[in-house]
Amino acid sequence: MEGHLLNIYGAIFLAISWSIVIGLNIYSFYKIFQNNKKED
Amino acid sequence: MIKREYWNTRLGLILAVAGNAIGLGNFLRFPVQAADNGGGAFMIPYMISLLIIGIPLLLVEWALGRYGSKIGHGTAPAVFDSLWKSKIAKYIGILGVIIPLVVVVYYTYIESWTLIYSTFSLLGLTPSTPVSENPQHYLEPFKNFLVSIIGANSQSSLFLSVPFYTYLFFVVTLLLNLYILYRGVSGGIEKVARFALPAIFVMAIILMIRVFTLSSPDGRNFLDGLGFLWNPDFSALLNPNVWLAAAGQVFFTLSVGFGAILTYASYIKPKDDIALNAVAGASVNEFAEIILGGSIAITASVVFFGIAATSQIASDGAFNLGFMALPAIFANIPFGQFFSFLWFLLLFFAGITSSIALAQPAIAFLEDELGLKRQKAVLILGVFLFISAHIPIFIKGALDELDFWVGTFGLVVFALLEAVIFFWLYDSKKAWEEVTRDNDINLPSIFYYLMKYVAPLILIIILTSWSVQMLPEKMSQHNVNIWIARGFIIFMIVLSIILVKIAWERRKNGRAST
Repeated sequence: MEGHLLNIYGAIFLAISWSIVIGLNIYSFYKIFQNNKKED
Repeated sequence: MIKREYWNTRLGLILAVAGNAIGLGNFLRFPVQAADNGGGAFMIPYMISLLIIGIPLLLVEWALGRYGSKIGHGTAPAVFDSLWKSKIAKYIGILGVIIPLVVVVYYTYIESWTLIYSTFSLLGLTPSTPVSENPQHYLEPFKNFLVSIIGANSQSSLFLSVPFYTYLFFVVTLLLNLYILYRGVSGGIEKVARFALPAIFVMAIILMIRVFTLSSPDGRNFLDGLGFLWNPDFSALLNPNVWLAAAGQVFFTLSVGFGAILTYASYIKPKDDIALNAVAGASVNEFAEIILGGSIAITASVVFFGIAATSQIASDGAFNLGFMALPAIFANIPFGQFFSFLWFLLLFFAGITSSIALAQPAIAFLEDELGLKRQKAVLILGVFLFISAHIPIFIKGALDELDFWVGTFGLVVFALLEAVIFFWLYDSKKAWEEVTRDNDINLPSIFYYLMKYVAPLILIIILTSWSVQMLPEKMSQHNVNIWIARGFIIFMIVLSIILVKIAWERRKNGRAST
């Protein structure tokens, strides 16, 4: 079988990258939501 | 003076800007670039590039756009002319109208291929062959299918023999784009973004779940695919080309240097935020790229074909992955027709939200600088796009030539000009004030140095490196096909210079908007 299973380093890079992206989305939309509430 | 439009809602604006950035590149170019350039290790230069070049250049373009809102003009010629008191400023600015316009000429055509594939998948008209041992043999009917759609099987050295249905799908795609533009910024672009962006995410998540549940008869599963993309090769970090590839990918994915963000940002109110909007738009784009784009095409290909064959498919070009490998996979899984339809509909939505953004600077030019009403502006644009598109549709090699000069080189040149004019030729202190005023988040002062020094320097390095690597080969090509494409670009430059001259003459005489 020709395989190349995700190793621990790959998993760490995937987890960090996904976390940064998800974190950025949560941060920016939380800030927008907060500002919208302030304006209301 | 024609009353300028504004975005209806902030969410609509962010989705429209994200829709501009999310394109075929997120789902096809990114995974190929990452797999080719060190896997997980690629993310180190990628994230660094995002921070030191991507976000700063985004902010520059957003700030130029908001400045445009203040002066009532959403085009680069007017913004450059207002910032830099030089006679040539407005002529340099025309790049911010020509670049996106020429890209639309061929991008709309590529977009129509995704509509063809999507419709044909639904109707069961895509190839269907039993799996063979050799992936190259298996992929052959799918390759022939793509070749027949674009008419690349023609015997002529000059013309492609495009079938009637391809032409018809292109016309439908073009009309759809024009209709959205005709409906205006809030009534067309924003409404489409509010529907298309969530649809893209839903479709991508369904496809991601399907890919993660795929397995091959010899035991490969999605962890092999993710391993291929994410297992790091740290030695790649010592290769300068990997860093250049990461900077290039960040640059392309954020869609900076097109002039489209400048125009979109000119439809916010003059005292609205830009910093948080820019970060939010980029975040949505990165979600589509890193999480969704990195989990579908290449993961599925590794599960189905294995690593060696996927490397071969990817090295032949990202398009082969999306237009040959993926349909080939879907042809052999249960409900494959439906997943193939979904995949290409996703690409179509990603494409159309980008093409309407790229067409808007031309509409803004006709409205803001020449004082035309939107209906007339869309009609003129439609006639121009219809006629011009015959070059990439029928002339062999024209699409690649236009993409090289305008969609690759031109973007970097224009992004560099934006940063230099704003932070060097205008006034760096005033430029920084313009970027940081009225924002909902505070920008750290390091961004001043990134915008003024670091980002332009990296753009110069990218341009120099590409010039050394690619220009000698490009400049040695002299066949008729290539010169038709180059002639079209030259014609566009001359035409734009004349139009800018007319617009500014009229402005001087007080006959157009000021």
